[in-house]
Amino acid sequence: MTARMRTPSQAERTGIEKSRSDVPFYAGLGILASVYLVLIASLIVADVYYATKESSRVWEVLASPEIRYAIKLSLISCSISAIASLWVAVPIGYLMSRYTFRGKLVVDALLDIPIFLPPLVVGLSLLILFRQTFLYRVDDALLISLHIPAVILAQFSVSSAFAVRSLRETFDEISPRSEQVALTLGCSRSQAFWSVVMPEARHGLLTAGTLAWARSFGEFGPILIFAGSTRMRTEVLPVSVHLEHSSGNTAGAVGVSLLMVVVAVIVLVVVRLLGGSDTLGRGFK
Amino acid sequence: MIQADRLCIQAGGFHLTDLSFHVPQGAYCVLMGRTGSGKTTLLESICGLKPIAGGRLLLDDRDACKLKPAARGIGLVPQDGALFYTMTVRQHLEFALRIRRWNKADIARRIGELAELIELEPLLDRRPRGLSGGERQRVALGRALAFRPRILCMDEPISALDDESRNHLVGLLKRVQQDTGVTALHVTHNRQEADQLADLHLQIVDGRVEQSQHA
Amino acid sequence: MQNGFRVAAVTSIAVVAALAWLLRAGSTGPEGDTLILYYAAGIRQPVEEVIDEYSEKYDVEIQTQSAGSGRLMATIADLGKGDLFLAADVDYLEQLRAGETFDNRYVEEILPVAYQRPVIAVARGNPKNIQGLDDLVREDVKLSLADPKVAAISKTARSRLTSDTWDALWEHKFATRDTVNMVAGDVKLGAADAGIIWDATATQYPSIDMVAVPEFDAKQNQIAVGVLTSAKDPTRALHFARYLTARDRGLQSFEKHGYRPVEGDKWAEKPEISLYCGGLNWLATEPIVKEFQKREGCQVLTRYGGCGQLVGEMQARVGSHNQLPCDAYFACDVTYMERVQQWFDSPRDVSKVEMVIAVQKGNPEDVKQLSDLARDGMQVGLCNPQLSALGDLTKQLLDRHALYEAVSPNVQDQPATAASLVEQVSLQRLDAAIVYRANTAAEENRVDVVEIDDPNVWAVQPVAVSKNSGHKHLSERLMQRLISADSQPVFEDLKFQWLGETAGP
Repeated sequence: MTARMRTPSQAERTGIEKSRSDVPFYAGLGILASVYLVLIASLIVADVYYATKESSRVWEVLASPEIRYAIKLSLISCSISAIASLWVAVPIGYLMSRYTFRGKLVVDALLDIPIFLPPLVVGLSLLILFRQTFLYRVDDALLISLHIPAVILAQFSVSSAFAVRSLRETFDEISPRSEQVALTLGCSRSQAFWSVVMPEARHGLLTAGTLAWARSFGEFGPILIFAGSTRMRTEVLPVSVHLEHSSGNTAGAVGVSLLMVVVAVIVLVVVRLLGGSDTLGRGFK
Repeated sequence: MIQADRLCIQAGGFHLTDLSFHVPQGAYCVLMGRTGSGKTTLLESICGLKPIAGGRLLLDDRDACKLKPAARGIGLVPQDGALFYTMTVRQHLEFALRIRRWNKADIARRIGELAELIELEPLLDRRPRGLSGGERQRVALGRALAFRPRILCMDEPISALDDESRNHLVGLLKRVQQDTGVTALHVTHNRQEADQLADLHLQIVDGRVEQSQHA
Repeated sequence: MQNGFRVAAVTSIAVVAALAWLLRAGSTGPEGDTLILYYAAGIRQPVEEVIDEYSEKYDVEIQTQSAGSGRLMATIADLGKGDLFLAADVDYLEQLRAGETFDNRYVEEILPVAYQRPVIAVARGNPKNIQGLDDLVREDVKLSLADPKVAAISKTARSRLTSDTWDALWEHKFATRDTVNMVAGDVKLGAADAGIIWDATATQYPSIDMVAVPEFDAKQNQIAVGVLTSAKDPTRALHFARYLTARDRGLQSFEKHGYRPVEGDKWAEKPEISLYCGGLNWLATEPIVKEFQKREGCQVLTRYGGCGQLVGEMQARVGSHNQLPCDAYFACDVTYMERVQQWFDSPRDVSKVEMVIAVQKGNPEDVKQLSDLARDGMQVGLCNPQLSALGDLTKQLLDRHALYEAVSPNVQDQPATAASLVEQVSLQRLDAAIVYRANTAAEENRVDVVEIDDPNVWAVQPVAVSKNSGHKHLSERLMQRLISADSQPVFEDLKFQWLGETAGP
């Protein structure tokens, strides 16, 4: 301390130099956020620009029966695998959230494997399972590998892991107490689950379902390996992009990519709209 | 009536042994104890939500140790109310009755009674979001009482409320308990609340229950 | 109790069932009506053209899967499914056929399609002035290469260069791609200044110029299609493969898209070829040809006869019509191939068999060597030296041992084929006859064999394809079938010694 005399300033009285502006904070947030937003927007703009430049080839590809088939297959297979994912994710998420048991850590790790593993590995493993073990007999009888069931199985194997993780968080956030109250009010475990837990988990279900659908929609590697890229049979939209690109038709590949963006946006908007209404929220009808 | 003989409870970190006490039919019993002393655990064990490791628990002269929560006939008002966020107040009140498959007319009559008793008429079509603390507790109380239980267990039902609501709810609880003749077990750490409500004081001290008649 | 979520759960099962039904309704009929074709991604344009044409004409659905040839090869080995594989380099098919790289044989027939060669692709006008491989490693040149592990183009290019040259390119490249088209795409979009691609690929991109590289032109690279061992209906797969490789059908599409097609067969729904086959080989050839006809869906007109006679017919026919009467010739002995070799491609040896003395069961006359045939009172049969190869060889043999004159008085019969000699020995009308060991196979129970002590008793049976056959590839497949390891047991059962291909380890 120097021994100079002066009157105490505002800063010294409050312990704060001066009232600092919040502008830099918000500017920082804005800049960092916009870096990513601009990137995504530019990607789409670039695709659109390229597609308009070669629009005749784009339309040719989009109008082809192969792509129409791929759209249909993508929408249907993703919906099936999303619903199937929820069917396994609800019980697993609920059990993992509510109960502790021996070996839970192992189960937990097992559930995360499809998330950490490259999807390609899942596809390869499915292939090995169905072609190189005794299961090949089942495969030959039921036509799984290289056929549509392989598409759905590949999507399901990966997307379920995401649905499980998402739903487990949902159930974690739902207090077990309302379920307990329902038990004292006369419910069996099952009644409490269906009439109290599930309604409260409805947003989580929707999120998990959407997540599973989106993962399935973008799924590519495992499908390529396990289901093949057979046109008019196992060609889903990401495979179309790959096929067009690898055979040199970049314009077609870009066209299909844009189509995927449009389809994905439509599906997400529809799901959000459905989720906004409260029709699923009532425990009783 | 709640009768506990040498009850042992082991749940989570709690270890309560040799708990014995008796709450006569129609009494208003307040259970006190320090934070972390196991009040809530004891309450949950009585309701059947936590297992009883040993001893005997009689509810209205029935051995309840092996009964499922649904069969014990206890109305539970948990600490935070634990309302069903997706349901209206009316649906809360109806919940236990629908499970019991009451017919519509009986349900409607019962809702009317409850709404009047616990002053819920204006709230019937609202959902938990946006209700005040006192209102929430009243909804939880109404939900617990709907099926006319013989025993009502409450876990700090009014501790978190402001003074005005608290006084109001204290009066309401006393009146409701007298009107319905339900045996009440009320957990709190608030001495004043206990004095206002209790016919009977129980206190958990060092893992044991001490019983004293209200002075 | 009615509950919205339970209803939703049940509904979701119904929805899945409905969706599955939708897929089933939209998917194709039974497996038999479809062919699964794997093809190298780089040759998409002509392949799709041919497929469209073919599937419309024959109402067969062709499902395709395309990727780099190397990747497809692995897929085929993994899956063990599918009918046909059109590879950018015949090497892949030969690997799959040899069954050495993989645990099994995955390819049966291989049909050549077209040629292409690696070139350097540069942007139009060659702005970086790239003249050869040396320019590719220049500091200012961004090079895109396909991965030799999965794409044929780099596998071929690498095999044409010294490992130092290739390593330098590989070291310098800034991008590795899966298929030749991706490399071309890099050059087209300006992401790379140069890449190594097929000449045919380059002609498909108007904005790409190509620079020829002498090192790459040393050997042509062959595109070929293979019929997979997993083909459910090989005849149908072969029908498509023949269509694809017919010079007046599929190959025209390849030519149109800048490939240099092979000289393919003429198209025919059910092609006919003619095989001239020495009588000695008859028993072994017959079942193999039948199987070949069935599998290929073709007709093989087989003319069996003494080799001298067959050679005579050929010479006469070429003399009068300037045209060979057969597409393939399977001779009793190399000497009968040599006489007409000028009209045939190089022959392949199938089998060999030695001359023996056939005697009655138990050898009652105690024949031990050739000279015994000259004994008084021996009843001997020999083949006619003018009409049959065996007869000619028999005469040469006896001449070498200076026995022909001595044996002649004992000769009772001189037929054109050995079969009747063996029959007469078995019926005890003859004491001994000089025949091929193979001739005795059918009468093993009634005829014994005495070996002849002479190194020149062996006849070798070669097969060859006519140089100007209209169905040269089909004929070559027949030849291939005859010399393949699958034929070995048939020949060995008939006492031939096998000279053809042997099964892998």
